[in-house]
Amino acid sequence: MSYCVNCGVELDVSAKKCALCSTPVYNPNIVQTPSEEKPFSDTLQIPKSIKKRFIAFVVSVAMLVPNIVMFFLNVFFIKGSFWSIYVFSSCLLAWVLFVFPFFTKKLKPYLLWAFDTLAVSAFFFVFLRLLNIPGFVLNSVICVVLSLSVSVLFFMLWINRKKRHWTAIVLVVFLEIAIVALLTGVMVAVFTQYFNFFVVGIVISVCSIVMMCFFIYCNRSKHVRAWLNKAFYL
Amino acid sequence: MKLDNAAKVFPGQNSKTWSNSFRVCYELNERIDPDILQRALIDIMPRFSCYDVRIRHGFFWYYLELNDNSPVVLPDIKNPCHRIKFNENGKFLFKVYYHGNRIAVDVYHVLTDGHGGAVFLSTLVAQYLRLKGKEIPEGGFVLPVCGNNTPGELEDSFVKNATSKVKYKNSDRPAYHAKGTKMPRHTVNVTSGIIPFDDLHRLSKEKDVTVTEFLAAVMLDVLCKKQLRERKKQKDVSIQIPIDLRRTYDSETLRNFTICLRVKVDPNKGIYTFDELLEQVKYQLRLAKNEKDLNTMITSNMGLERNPFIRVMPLIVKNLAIGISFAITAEACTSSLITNLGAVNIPPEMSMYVNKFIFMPAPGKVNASRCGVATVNNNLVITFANIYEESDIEREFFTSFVKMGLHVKIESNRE
Repeated sequence: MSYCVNCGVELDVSAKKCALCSTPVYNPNIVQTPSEEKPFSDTLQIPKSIKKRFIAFVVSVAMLVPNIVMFFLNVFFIKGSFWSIYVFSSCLLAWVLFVFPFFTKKLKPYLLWAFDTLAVSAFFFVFLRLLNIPGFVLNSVICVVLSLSVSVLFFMLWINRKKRHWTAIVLVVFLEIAIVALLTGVMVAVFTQYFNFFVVGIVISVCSIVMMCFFIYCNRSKHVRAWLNKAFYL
Repeated sequence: MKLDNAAKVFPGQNSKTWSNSFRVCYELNERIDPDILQRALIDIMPRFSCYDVRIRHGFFWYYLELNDNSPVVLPDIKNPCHRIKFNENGKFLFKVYYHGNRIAVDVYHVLTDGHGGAVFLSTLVAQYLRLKGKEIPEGGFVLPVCGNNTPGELEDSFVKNATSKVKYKNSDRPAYHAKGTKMPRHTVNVTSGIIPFDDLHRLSKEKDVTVTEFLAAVMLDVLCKKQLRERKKQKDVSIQIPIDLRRTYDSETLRNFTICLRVKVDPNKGIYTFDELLEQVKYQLRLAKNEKDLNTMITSNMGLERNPFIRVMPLIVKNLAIGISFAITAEACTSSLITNLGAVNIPPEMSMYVNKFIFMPAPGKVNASRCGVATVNNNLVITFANIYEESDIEREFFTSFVKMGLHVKIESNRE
C-alpha cells in the first residue's frame, strides 16, 4: 500500500507516480511485481484519420474529367469560339481555392495567399479578355483584387506577430476596409472616368471610420463596455 | 422506435471526435473470462430489446431499428467514452469491454441514461456470475433474463409527464471554464477516487446536506479558487447536476428520463466560504427540485419537439440548429458536471463478488473536468473525465477530502 507524501491519498499498487501531483512512488517495503495489473488498459483507441490528400486527388480527377470532355466537344463537335476555356478557368479557380489546400500537409497561409491571388487575377483576366470587354474594366477589377489581396497580406502579417485582443482585430479590420474602399474608389474612378465610384468608396470609408470610432469609444468607456458585456455576454 | 425526447438532441451533437456517451463499470473480485462474458451478453440481449437497436436517418427525425447483428465483447481501451460512429461496432450504440477484473459498458446517451446503463450492466454481470456457477437472484438493478421489455420500460416518460401549462424560462449566462493544456484528440484523462461512503455520508449529515450537495459544494469551492488564480474578471461558476426523474414520476422506463439542474454562484459578490457554498447548493437544488418546476422543464423540452415549425424542418437543418444551440447554451453555461447515480441496488448474493462500481460521464468539449459518482458496498467512487493534461482540479478536489480526514484511494489511466 503506497500513499502520496504530497497529496495524502492512497495510490494503486501498480502506480509509479501519483496521478494527482506526479510525485514518484518509492516504497522499499513493496516488492515490485511486474504481473500486477493496472486498473486501466494501456491500449489507446485512435480511429484512422481520413486521408485528405487521397480525397483531394480524387476530387481533382473528378474535376479534370468534365474539362477533358468539354475540350473534345469544343474541338470536334461544337466548334466556333473557344468556349471550353470558361469551364476550364472556373474549375481551375475552384481547385486552387478549395482543393489545393488539402494537398499540403500543414496549411501554409502565405503560400495559399499567393496562389489564391494569382488564381483570382488569372480567372478575371481570362474571362474579361475572351469576352472582349473594354480594357478599363479589366484594369479596375485587377486593381480591386490586388488591393484586397495586399490588405489581407498586411492583416496576416500583423495578426501572426502576436496574440491580439478582439477589439484591436475589429479596429484593424475596419481600418483596412476604409483604406481599401478609398483606394479602390479612386482607382476605379480613374480607369472608368465615373466619379460615382469615388463617392461610393468615400461613403464606405466614412462608415468604417464611424464604426472604428464607436469601438474606440466602447473600449475607453467603462459604462458602455459594461452595458455591452451585459447585453451580449462578452 | 422513436427516440425519446432527451435523445433527440444527441445525434445532432455527435462529431468526429466527441459523442455524448458515458461509462458504467463493475470491478469484480476475480479475473474476467471474455468467453463467458460473451455468452452472458448474448443471453441478456433479448431482454433488452430497446438496446438491441441501430440508429437510422429519417427525413425529419432519427429513429431506432432492430439490429440483426450480435454484440461482441472487446478488450478495454485507455480512452473510455470514445466517440460513437453509427456504422461501427456492428451498428450497436453501446460497447462492452473487459480488462482484468473489470467489465465496462460505454453507452451512447441516445439509448438510455445512467440508471438504464447501470441496470443493463448489473443484469449482464449477474448473468456472467450465474454462468460462472454462482447463485444470483433477481432484484434491484438486476432484471430477470427471460421475457421481453415491458411497455413501461420502453415508454418515453417525458411525453407522458409533460403536463405543465407554463414553460421554463432559461436565464443562464456564460460560465467560467477552467484553463489548461488540451489533451490530443480522442484521448482523455480518467481519475477515480474511492472514498468510504459511511464516512462521507456522516460528514454530509453533520452539515445537514445530501452527499450530492456536499460533492457539488466541494467542486464549486475548487472551481471558484481556480478562477481567482486564473482570471481578473470573474464569471459565474455553475455546476450541472442531472436529476433522475424516475422516483418523482414513478416511472420504470429504461430509456432517458433525467433532467439537468444547475447550481451557480457569482464570485463577483465576494469570496464564498465552504459553508456558504454548501448553503447555496442546498437551497438552490432543493428549490428547483420539486415536481412542478421539473414539469415546466420537461414541458419546455417537449414544446420544442412538438413545435410544428421544428417538426417540418429536414433533419439536416435540425442537426445544424442543435449544433449551434449546443455551442451557445449547453457547456458554455456550465463550468462542470457532477452526476451521482447513488447507491447501485444489487442483491446481497451478488454484492459479495463486487468490489466497486464506476460511473464516468463523457468528457466535456469545454468543461475541463466532469465527474460521475456511484456507490456499491460502501465504496463511493468519484470518477473524473478530464480533457486537460493538468490534474489540478482533481488534486484539489480529492485533497479537500483528505484534509477533512477521509481516506481516499486514487486510480488513474495517466502514465
